[in-house]
Amino acid sequence: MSSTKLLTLKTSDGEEFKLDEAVAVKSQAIKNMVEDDCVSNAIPLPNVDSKTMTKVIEYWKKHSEEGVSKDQLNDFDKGFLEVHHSVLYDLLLAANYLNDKELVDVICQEVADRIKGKTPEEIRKEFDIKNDFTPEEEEKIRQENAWAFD
Amino acid sequence: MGMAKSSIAKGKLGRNWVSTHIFSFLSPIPDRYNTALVCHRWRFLASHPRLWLRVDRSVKDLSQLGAYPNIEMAVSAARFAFLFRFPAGGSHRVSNIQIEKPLCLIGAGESPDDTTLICSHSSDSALEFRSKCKLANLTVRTELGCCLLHRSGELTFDGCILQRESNPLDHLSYAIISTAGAAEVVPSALKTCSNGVSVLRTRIEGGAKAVLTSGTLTLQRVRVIYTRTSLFFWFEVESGDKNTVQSASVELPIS
Repeated sequence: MSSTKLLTLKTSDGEEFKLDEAVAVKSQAIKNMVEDDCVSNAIPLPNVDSKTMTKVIEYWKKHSEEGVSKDQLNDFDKGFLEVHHSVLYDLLLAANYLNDKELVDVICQEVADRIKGKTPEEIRKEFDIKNDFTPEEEEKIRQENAWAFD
Repeated sequence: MGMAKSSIAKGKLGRNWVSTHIFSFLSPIPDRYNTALVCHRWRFLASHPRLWLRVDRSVKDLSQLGAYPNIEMAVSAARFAFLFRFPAGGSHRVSNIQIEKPLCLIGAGESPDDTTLICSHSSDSALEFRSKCKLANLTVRTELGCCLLHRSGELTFDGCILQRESNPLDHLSYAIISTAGAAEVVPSALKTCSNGVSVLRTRIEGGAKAVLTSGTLTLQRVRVIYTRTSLFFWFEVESGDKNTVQSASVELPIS
């Protein structure tokens, strides 16, 4: 039973997004506000910018569509997550802020997949991270944990 | 994580939670281990207690991920080479626990005195090691007849205290007993597993004897440092040269 009520979400950079309530409540945070009846005006989302909100809404809408097969959803997710790690991170923080556990886990799995099987140097390249260990520190950590490897 | 300029989520707590949540999707070995080598921040996140198994007696509800009320449950739950942190100030009873997968048991206090594993005389052994294992920063107190039994694998004591209750039957009891023999090299295996015990910076207190090897390993490279209040030992139990005499049992007298 979907509601045809429209909600207005206002992002940190002042942009407004109109969205079906039935879709918006994928965010537990928004759902709570709806239930507490404090959504007469636009819902402010100071921790999410419009660029990220657009992507989140794209995900929500696809996952609310009727008649979409599991395979089609998987294909969509794959393409949806094929973005630069900084975009992924913004998405993750937004999904966490909006409290959408499903989206949080989907993104975490994607990031984890980008880490799996890589050496520390490969991980740094993947995420543009600078190595701030001294050679001595690196050696110390390696030795501390060497016990676990045969 | 790479800090994008457009990232505006506030609160370091949120960022930390999200980052450790990502790491919880990784297997401890090798992936999470590798993340700890990427940079200081990742090392901090990967070491977060939330990601490791903890033994905490106050835990009643097992759905609290990663925390177990006693060692037996934690050991049986560990699927990989897990690290157990025992909250400081605790003492935990251990008896007849078999360790068959690589484990690291670490006391979370500042010194080994802060965390104690106690094994009472009604058990045969406190811990029986059949796999690579490391104990660090812990006190293991064993009463008569009970010991740390090393069957196979590499066992390491780093910065521990092994306490034994003195007893008239001391000549029968040892802190560590190793029944392991030199490991066999299996042609098809990629790596050889070696058996041995390494003891580093460990105090051995009470009792008359420290180590018995009833397998084919021998005591080697013994060093002792005498401080005002304690003796610190370093030694290895491993297979020696073919030229040295293999003795059936080796005793380390402690005065």
